[in-house]
Amino acid sequence: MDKAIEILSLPFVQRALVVGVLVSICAALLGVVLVLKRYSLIGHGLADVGFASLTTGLALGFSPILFSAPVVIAASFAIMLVSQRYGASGDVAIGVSSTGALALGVIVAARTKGFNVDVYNYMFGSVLAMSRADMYLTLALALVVILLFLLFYNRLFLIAYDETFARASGINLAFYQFLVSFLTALTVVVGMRMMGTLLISSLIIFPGVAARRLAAGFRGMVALAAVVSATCFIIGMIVSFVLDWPVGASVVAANVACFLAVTVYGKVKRPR
Amino acid sequence: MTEPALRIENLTLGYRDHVAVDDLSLVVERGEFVHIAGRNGSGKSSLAKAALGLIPIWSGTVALGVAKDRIGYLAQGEGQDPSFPATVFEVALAGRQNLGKIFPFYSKADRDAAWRALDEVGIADLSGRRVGELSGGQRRRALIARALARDPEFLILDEPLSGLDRESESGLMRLLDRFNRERGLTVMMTTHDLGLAGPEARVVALDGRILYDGPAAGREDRRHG
Repeated sequence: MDKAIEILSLPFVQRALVVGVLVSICAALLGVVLVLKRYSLIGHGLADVGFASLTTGLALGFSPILFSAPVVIAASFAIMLVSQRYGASGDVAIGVSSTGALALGVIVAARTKGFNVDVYNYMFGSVLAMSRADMYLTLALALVVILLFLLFYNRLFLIAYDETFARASGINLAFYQFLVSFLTALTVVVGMRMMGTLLISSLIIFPGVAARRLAAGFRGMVALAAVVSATCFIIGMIVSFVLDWPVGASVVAANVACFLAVTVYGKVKRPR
Repeated sequence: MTEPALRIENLTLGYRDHVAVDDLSLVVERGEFVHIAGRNGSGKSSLAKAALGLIPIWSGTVALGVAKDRIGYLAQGEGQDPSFPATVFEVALAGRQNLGKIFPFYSKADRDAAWRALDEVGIADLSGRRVGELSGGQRRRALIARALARDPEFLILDEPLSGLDRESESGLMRLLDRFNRERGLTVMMTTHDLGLAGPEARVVALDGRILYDGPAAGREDRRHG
């Protein structure tokens, strides 16, 4: 107990916890909409774009997060435009941007000397190495995501449930599709530092998928996804301290364990 | 003189090279119950969607005499994936979206309207259940409750009876008839089966164009358009 209190009193651990829980909640909220719209892989695609933009930002001497934010947001809009135009084949847009960006990031990282450690941290996350400035920036972006999600919560439900009725009710679908893309891009950017570009999409997918299996309604799914995500983050951090595992991978492992537990529970409770 | 609920003049529309509705004119007066009948591909759903501005038209005019937010719409199909986590109450409440408020939050009046609608369609006791777990008839009632929660003047229902068993069909028809008679709701309903339309009900039979427009009793073949 004393050991736990000692660890929690460390400023960098406190920063990691605050940022981690907030980013986990952001990712879970958006994940609910993306999972229900069968669009959750956009998080993975945008994370790869984030990898390319942060290596480029580091190579050019800019702040990786500030440099990546507009690039990832622009990529999210481009993916959404292509998806709207070509419908179901929109996943091709994610695949193309994802692999293309990853290749660009690797080339830039290989051709630029001196920042391999930074790139590694952004690929796999380094939540404990976050500075106070990183924390404030992440907090501000996370609050924007959460507030906008809550503001448009009812609209997002209707659009996720029934686009045709939403259109018939005069709701501007394109605006909300772009809003979700924008918020996903912001979440990916703020989550890159914490979870790494290769792992951030798991925070978007797992809590939503797990919550979907348990909740009867949308509100329940949103609340459950947020709780699952924050809890898995905290458990992942504790595990990483105890077993000396990387934080990002430990958080993903906690999410995977939760998903498997929920799946087994669902099979036992409602055999099909 | 009261403006009709819907006035369509010389409407032509289609998809790529296929003409779905060809030079069609139709007036739906307020308080009428109109059955739009026809086989699959006869243009019924296209007509309903065009009335709401959901699909582009090639030529002609479509004029609604009712404000858009006073229209309740039920799209064709069973609704969403049964595993979608939405309770019956959440679905009914969603009918209160976009009714002129700046922020999309629900008020007590919105919740009351959703409860009233669920009560009217007889599934208030199922409000906490997941919509996907309901029977086809109950699910259709939940979607009609969502349309009713808008406090509509005009209901546009696209194949509300398809896929239902006979008992659910007649229960739903009685409900819609009651809304039309007691509340004066204008109803335009597409269907491929006129078996449940009363002899005096107005039937518009379609096959791209209007084949018949008059009382159901006046049609020789009351089935399959």
